[in-house]
Amino acid sequence: MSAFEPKIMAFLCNWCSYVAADAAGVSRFTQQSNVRIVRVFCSGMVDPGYVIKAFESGADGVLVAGCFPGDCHYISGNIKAMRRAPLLSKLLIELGVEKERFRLEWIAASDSVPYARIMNEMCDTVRKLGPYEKPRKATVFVSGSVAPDIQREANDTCCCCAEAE
Amino acid sequence: MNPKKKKIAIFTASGCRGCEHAILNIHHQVQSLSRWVDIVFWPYLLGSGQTELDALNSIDVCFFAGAVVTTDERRMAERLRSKSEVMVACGACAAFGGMPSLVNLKKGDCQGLHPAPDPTDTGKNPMLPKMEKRVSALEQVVVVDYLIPGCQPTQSLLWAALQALACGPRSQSKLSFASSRLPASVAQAVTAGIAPPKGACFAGDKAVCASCSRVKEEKKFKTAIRTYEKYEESGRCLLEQGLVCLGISTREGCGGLCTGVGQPCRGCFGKAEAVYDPGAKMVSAISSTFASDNKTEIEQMAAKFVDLSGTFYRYTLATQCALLDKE
Amino acid sequence: MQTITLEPLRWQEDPSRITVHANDSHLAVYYQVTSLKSVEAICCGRPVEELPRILPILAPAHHLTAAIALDRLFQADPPDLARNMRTALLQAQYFSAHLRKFFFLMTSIQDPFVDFRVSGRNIHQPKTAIRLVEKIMHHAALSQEAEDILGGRHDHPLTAVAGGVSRYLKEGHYQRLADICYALLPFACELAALTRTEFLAEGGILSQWTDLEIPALSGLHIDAGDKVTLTHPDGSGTQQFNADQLGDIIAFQQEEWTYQPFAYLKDKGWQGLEKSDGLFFVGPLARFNAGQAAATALAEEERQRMMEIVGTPPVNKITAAFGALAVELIQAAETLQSLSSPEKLSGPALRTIPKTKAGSTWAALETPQGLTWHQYHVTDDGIVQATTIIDAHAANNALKCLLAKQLVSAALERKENPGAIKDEVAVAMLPF
Repeated sequence: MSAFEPKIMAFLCNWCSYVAADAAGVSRFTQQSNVRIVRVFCSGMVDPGYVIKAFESGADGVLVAGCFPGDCHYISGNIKAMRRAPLLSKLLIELGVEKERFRLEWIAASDSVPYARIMNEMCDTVRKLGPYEKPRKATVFVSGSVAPDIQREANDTCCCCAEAE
Repeated sequence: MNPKKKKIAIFTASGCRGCEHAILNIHHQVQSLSRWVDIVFWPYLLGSGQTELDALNSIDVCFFAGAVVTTDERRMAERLRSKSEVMVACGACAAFGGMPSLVNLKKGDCQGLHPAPDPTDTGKNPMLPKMEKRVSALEQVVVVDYLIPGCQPTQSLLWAALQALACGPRSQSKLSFASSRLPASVAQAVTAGIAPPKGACFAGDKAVCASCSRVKEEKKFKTAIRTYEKYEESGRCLLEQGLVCLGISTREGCGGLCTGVGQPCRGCFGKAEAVYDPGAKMVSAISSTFASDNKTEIEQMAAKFVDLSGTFYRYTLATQCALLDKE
Repeated sequence: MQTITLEPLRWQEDPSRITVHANDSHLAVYYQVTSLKSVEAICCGRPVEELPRILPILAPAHHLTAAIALDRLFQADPPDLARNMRTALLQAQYFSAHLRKFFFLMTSIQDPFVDFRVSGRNIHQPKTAIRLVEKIMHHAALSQEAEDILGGRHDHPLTAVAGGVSRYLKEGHYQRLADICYALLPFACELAALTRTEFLAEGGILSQWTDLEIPALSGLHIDAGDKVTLTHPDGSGTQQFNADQLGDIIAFQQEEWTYQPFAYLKDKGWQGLEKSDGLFFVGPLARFNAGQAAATALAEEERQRMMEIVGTPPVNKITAAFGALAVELIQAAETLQSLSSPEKLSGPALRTIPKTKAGSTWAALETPQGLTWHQYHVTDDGIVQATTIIDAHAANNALKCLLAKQLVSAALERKENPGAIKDEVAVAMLPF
């Protein structure tokens, strides 16, 4: 049985992070081959729907990489991406997508070394997490009973109820 | 020539009786329905049971409300589908899963805490229909022809749907009434006297914002608020006031009922035509209103929003949440 | 062993059936609720302020109970305007809910889809019945309009929020509400009179229940303020509790053959359905059996007249249950009328904004179906961790089971097939 190899979608902005990725390739840095790149013109054009669709279509991890704040080719596109990320991350966690599977990073055009490092790190992290599978089952409480005492865990995947294992 | 009356069936699986009450609440018009239709199967009102269903060769239109929670309900959906020309998912529960489908959010087995009926005990206690592993919308069980969304569906839409599907091309005035309240593609079909395109949703295509009466200005705020924390009776867009309102990702058709009384929309008409996933759309809509360029501030604002999945998919978890396994 | 199923039971909120296991020596009758709503699971994890919009899945008046719980949780006292609007909405809900029961009662003898204008000339249909159904529908439309005005939407209301209501009424609403009440009140009186003189009289729809004593259970209802009263079925007296203690006084029993748990009195323990001293029921008959005067004048007059027909409380009869519905219809219309004025329904403030939040809350409200009680535990974020809901579904489950058994036994004694009494049983269960 072959070991699990994660599929990582990377949305890279044309002006910075894609250039870094290109340079990393040209410089022949060792990179894991799990990454599928989509070049976008700005990290700000990555709609949360793309990220969700990536997971729905079989991605195990999604990276969105843009220019550093202040360097955006479209002035504030990356700020838009920055505004979306925490809320999107929160929604993903509630829906069973672990925090580490979605990342927003700033990668400048000259950052080919950090680019390779980030991609390799992400591949390792996601490989450890295992394949992403959509949650499918449900727990039902009988009307009238009080739900058991619950603790909210740090990386809790959804709400506060204890799982019926 | 007097064309035959259409035979209609009305059934609710699990949920509440709101959709059936919505049909009953059409009041005087319900009484006149019998000029055009024969209600041949309606357990809630007429007590129709398996015997009556068995005796029916065919049903013209079946209005199925409620989410499918037990195996018996699944079988009933299949039976009704096999006998019905047209199957309509009436109400948010049948159309999208509704609030009952919120239990799909949690991990574990649906039959969890309730003691399952013990098969070896036959004769001692009667069996109960088994709970399925997951709450389903009607289209996850059988092929659905039309959707009437809403919790409950608004009367004008419901009446328009009834007339379009069941009363048939027998009264021009009824048809014009119906088509004036239906989305363009459905209305065109109705006026032409043909069946609307299969899969049509009896609601508008745009978002609720198009029919909401509130004033939309600039959407920028620094804090998020919960509905109990503050409210301005200013007639201004609720999203702009810092509240979570799902109107921007929800189909119109209700006329902005909730926002009209100061309550944010919770999406009971399902996602608007152009939306891929309501949660994604709402994340995008809400985070675009954050008036800050500072990462920490943004994270703090995002932290104030709670229960995103239960709010963005309040009525639509079963069919419209992209990241939930629908198999 | 013969198994007979009476399915479906008309007019019941929950999908339900009666299953009979009978042989020469043994009879077991089960009232089974065949699906689970899992409301507590739906609420768990939701922001607590959403509960007034989620809980109407059980019944519209849960909206108001949840709002009261929120007031208490946030220690935000609603202003008078909001209190009045909520009370007015509750009256409209009483009217709609009770009138619907009369509509259903009429459908036991009259096809509801018969068009009066067309078939009024049909001599085979009793004219009174058709006219009455039409009148019932007309007034149901009016009370539904009142619910729309006050609550935003009828079966799933919107306007009650933590600390108040969500919007002011419009100019035209006050007059419209007054006009609606102007029509509702005389009709309620007329319907009550019809109940006495026709339905309960010789040959009327309800006359077959005149002598039938149903299982006698204690009735539970909210007295003035926050006191809950348990009235013993034999007239031997009452017990009083503070409403906030209901969670400690009432427990739930889950049986394997129905998805709906039973509510029972904890101190008596669960003794099964054979022993009834731990069991109780709620609703119009429970309120009637408390024997207190109605809150409004015409309703009290009607209650006196009704008692002459059905008996002085406590009365354990289906006739009394329907009589109670009729009296409460009048009371709801009168109360709504007294509130439908600009003075009562307008004011400077819609709501009180909360300044603080507790970790748990409770609320008790007498609703059309009966006593409802909510308890929520919330996190610091205001997310619901656990809810306990006591309402007519759980509280009247036992009564319905006992009633089903009584009627099926009686049918078997008459050598009748229990399957033939399905509609009868539905009428018997209707007022509960």
